[in-house]
Amino acid sequence: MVGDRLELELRRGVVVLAVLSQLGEFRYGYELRQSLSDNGLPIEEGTLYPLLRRLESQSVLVSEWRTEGQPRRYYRRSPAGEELYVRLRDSWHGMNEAMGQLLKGDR
Amino acid sequence: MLTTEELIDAYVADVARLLPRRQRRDVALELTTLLRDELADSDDPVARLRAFGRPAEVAARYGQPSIAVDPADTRRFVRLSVAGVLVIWLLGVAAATDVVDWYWTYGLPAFWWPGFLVVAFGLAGWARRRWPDRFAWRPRRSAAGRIVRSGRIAAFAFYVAGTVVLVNAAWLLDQLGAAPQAVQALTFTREFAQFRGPLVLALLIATLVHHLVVTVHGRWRPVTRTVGMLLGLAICAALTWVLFAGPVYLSPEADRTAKFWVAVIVAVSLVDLLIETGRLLQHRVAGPMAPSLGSL
Repeated sequence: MVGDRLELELRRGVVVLAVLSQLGEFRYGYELRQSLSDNGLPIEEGTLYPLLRRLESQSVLVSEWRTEGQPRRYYRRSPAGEELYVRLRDSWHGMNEAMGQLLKGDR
Repeated sequence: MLTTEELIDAYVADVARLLPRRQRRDVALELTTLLRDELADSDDPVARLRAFGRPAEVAARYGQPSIAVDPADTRRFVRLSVAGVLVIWLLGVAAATDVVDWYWTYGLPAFWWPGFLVVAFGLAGWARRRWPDRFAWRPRRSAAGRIVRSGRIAAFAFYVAGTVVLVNAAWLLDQLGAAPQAVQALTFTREFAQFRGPLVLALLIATLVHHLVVTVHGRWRPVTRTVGMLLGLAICAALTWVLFAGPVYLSPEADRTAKFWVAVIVAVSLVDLLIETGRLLQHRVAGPMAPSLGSL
């Protein structure tokens, strides 16, 4: 359906920013997904986990394996990821403000 | 019935197999631990794994998927592929001796054409990504409906000469002192000379006149386009009749060769007519606000 596809595209645009926002400290994939979901932004696992690896390969995230208990890979923002996060966050605020103006009174 | 752990192992193995070798072990290990978390309390682990995505899709998400034909070029690629294969198949219909010959000589081998296009589009896409500045769009004057007069005049002379040669091939060979067998080979059968020949000749002359009119006008007009299409259709119909109605030349070899080329002409003309019809319909849908679309 067209509506579903367009909504998916809209959400896809903010996924990276949402992920970066939660990775100021080390987190592993499942924990991150729960956190995003608890905050009202559920992301499919098949999308989120590969995204973490891609962001790491682009030096936006760093990761480490922790082996106490079940071994898990933890991610957090790299210095380059910090810069990108600030940039995307500012951009988001600008767009949010603009969209707020555009959609004002449109209820 | 597989246990959840066995299902995870099978799924991860299918994903890992499709990853670059250096990524496999690491991704497999991480994916296993993540899926254990995800499926820990699941009543239907198979459904959860299916929801995760096909292994090929998941593997593709882990890296930059490689593209053979750019998505922007896909429509053109499909159109060219289909049109090319259809033309080869139609030529095969005229040239093959039977269905089995057609299948092995034209039916199956025709797929070299889409393969060739994949390579050509792939190279073009690679070049565009490698040197984006060189392939940047540049404005050019719209050629909406215009023609190149010198080219059309040269083409007119060529068509007239071709028609004269076609009609008088035997007489010309005789004048040039060719062997009687050659003259005989290119002599029309009485039946062709009485009915089909004059009809084809009349249509060829009408096409030449139409060509001349467009050349004098200096550009295509809606009426000349419509007349051109109708003439094209009439010639295709007449040539198809020629193909199936009986021998054209006295010599069977000359007849077979001539009919092969007639089939080529019909196939190319039909493709051209289809493209032209598509343009015309597009132009009508776009309306008068888009006058240049009809000639793109």
